[in-house]
Amino acid sequence: MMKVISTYISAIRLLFLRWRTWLVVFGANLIFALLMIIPFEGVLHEAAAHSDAPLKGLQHFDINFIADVINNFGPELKIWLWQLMIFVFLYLVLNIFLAGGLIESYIHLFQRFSFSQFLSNCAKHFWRLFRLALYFLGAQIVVIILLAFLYTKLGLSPFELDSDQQFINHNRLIFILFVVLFAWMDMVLEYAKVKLVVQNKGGFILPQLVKMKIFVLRHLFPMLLLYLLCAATFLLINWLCAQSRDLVPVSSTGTIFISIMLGQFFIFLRVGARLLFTAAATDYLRSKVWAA
Amino acid sequence: MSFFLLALSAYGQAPLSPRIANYDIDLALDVDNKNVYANQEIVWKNTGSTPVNELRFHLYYNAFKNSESTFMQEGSLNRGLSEESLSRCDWGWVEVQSLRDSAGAELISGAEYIHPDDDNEYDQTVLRVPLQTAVPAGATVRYQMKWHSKIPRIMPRTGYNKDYYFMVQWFPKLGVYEKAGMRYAEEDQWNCHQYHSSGEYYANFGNYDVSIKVPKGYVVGASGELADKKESADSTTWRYVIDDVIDFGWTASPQFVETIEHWEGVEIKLLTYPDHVHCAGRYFGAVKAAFAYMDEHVGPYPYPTLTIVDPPIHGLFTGGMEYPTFISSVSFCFLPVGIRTPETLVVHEFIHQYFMQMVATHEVEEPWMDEGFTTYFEGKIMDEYLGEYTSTIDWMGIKIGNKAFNRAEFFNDDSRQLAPSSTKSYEYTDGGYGNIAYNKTALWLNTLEGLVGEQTMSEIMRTYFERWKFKHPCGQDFFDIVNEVVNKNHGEKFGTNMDWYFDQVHFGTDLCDYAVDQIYNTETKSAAGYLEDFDNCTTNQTDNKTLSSGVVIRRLEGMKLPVEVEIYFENGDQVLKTWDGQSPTKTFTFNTDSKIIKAVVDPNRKLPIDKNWINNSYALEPDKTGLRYYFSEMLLTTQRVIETLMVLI
Repeated sequence: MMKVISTYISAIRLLFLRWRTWLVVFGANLIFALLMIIPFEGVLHEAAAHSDAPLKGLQHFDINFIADVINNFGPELKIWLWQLMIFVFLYLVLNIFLAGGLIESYIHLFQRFSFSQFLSNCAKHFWRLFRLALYFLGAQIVVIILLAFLYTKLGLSPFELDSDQQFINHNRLIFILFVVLFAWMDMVLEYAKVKLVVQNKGGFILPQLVKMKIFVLRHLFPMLLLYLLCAATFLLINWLCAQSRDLVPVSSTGTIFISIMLGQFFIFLRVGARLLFTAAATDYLRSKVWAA
Repeated sequence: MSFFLLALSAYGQAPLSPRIANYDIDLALDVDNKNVYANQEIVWKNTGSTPVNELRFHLYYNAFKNSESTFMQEGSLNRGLSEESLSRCDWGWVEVQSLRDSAGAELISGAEYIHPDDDNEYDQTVLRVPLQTAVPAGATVRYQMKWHSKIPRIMPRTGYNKDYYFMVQWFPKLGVYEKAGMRYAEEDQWNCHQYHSSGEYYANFGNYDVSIKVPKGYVVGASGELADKKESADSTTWRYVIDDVIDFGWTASPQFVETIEHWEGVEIKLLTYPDHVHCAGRYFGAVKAAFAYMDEHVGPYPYPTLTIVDPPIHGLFTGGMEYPTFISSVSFCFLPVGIRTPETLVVHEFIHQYFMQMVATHEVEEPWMDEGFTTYFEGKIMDEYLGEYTSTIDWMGIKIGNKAFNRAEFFNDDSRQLAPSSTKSYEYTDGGYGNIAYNKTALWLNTLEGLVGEQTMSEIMRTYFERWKFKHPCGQDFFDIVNEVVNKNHGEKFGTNMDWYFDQVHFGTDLCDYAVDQIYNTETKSAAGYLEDFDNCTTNQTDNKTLSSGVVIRRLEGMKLPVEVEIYFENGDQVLKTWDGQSPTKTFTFNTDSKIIKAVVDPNRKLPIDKNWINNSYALEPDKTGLRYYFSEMLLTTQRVIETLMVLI
């Protein structure tokens, strides 16, 4: 238990020690989000640059404005949504690309951080990690299909159910199963990423993935505990983020600016909490495998 | 209140309605075989001016007899019937076994199914029964009927599932014999449509006395008051009576939990399954708000009871329905308080007690007259009860008001111009029934209110209700009242009548969109050229220090409505102008020493039928705070979403 907590603390320290990588991932998030919404801003500008209508949004959630934008600028929004899909894909690819550099920077803790080295490491591990991500996506799809099948077996139609509680029970069961399976896969993925980067070998990655599953099973308790600590951190930050939403009542450009800055602060923390999983996996493997 | 007491004291004394078709039904529910066996006495009065040689009955349950009925062919098959149901043969039907007149003559042998709407020979929802003795004009006759039905499982609006029964449109019911001049009838005629997938009601008023025999342990709720309850060894007979209504519905289940509250002497009974009991407060709160609103703004509720059925999850197919003093809603035990579905539905269905029940319009021929009116009042009541911005959703930061939701729903649905709102329910062949009959009508009623004012609109509705309660008005009857009240209150401000309005909003499919096209402020100069004679040319123009300013308003769609335009000047002055909205553009010009900085069409949003409120205002130097707000929200949301998507890799 103490070992797990010390690994968790060490992972947080690692995260702060490598604050530049944290900043890079956050920067990618911000830049991609800006790229994604600039066309939307264009639509909004075309629709309402000289109008009073957007001001009502400051007073209350204004469904009239939103509906009028959708209704009158539907074709433009449709094109924008397609662009969004492309950007989302590119964003995910970029993050796979960054993962190699990130993990290398966590592994070589005492080396001075160099941005060019970071990029070189990103490129070095990209294809392996990309293939790993595809495996993981495939596994997720299989899990979802299995759960959907289970859902239909439990009784999908409300007309077949006896009570609302039965509906809740079915969904609760599916949800718990999904969370457990997802957490298991996520754990395996994090450790597999680190292992792939450490080994830096070509060839098939499936055998390594299988080995990593066995490894995770062998160390299930401490790994799960560590994972849960990271997950709790992630959830805590999300909860704080949700609580902060109404902290600054938006009424002027100044308060909008404050709201954006506060939002950025929490997104920065969320990105950090996400990186904490990788940092913790790296640190755990360092203490278990490399130390041995 | 005094009106209500007056009505209450009158109840049971003078009939509220003409009581043309009266039913006394004794039925037994066979829960093992899902059958109903009934003896039915019908007392009917010929209100026409000529003798009647035949009767026409609605046999609604035959809509569920097979896949070929008009109801099923119109698309309800997909809505209500799963493949599993098909294989289990969950169909239902009704068979009239005997119909005798007061002389004892059997009439059923000469009966035949007819299909007045679509010639669908498989449809058996209208039965024509030739009489051996014609019913003279003004005469009242008595018939004895024996019938038997199989209850369908999970059909739209009615049927059974597990131990839950929701029995509506369930008995052989007479059509309406219209006297020449009534509604659109040019001569005395039966008005008895087939059962369509959309639109149900049109029936004569009458008294109902219904005895329902169910197995012991079943709780029965129904239209009207419980007059008697008789227990036997293995069954209970519940007798419900109600006068002056157009229909009768009932429900039964051994699991019902009954909760009773009162509003001004009216007993409100809620029937729920045990896991929905905690929703009772939501229902009672909303329905009492509706009682109070309708009592104050439309007229008194004259019946002593209202029964609300909250179906179980396996009875969802019966949720959101309306029958005289008997309505159903929908809730789930896990539904957040901020999702107002139970409140919205119970308010909506309660308003139907006024529009289609007391003011007994024809839902098949003029669906807008009940669903549209009901949606209009639903918006008013819900926005007043739960807030203009929170009456439909107030959950996780999303706040949507009822009227705003209906407007958004109408304009964001492709069906918005498919048909005029005057379309019959079964003529919406390409969709749009819900959007046009409900939402469009509510929108144009709200727009009418914006034009003529809240007070005049309230008077229109009160007059309409008072004049047509317990009768059968048609659309023109409502238009006549609008014209009468608007003329009385506004003279010829809107022309000799409002038909120009109804021609567009009701009989037409055009949209409405007014926009501020541009604002200009041009400096004026003194005159130049040969001004006084042919010799002296003035070559220098000097600044007059006044501006020639203007605002150009455009009508972007076909609908033409009078609009207000508010114009703002740099020195703080504001001018409110009106425009009849007829021409494609209108320019308001001013010679002034202050610039026009902003113009707003329809500044008070009196015309919710305007499809785009964004282009209703134009400012030379706009306050961009709103746009910045939307930009910041989009940025943060996008960042959160793509950050969350990281879990995928």
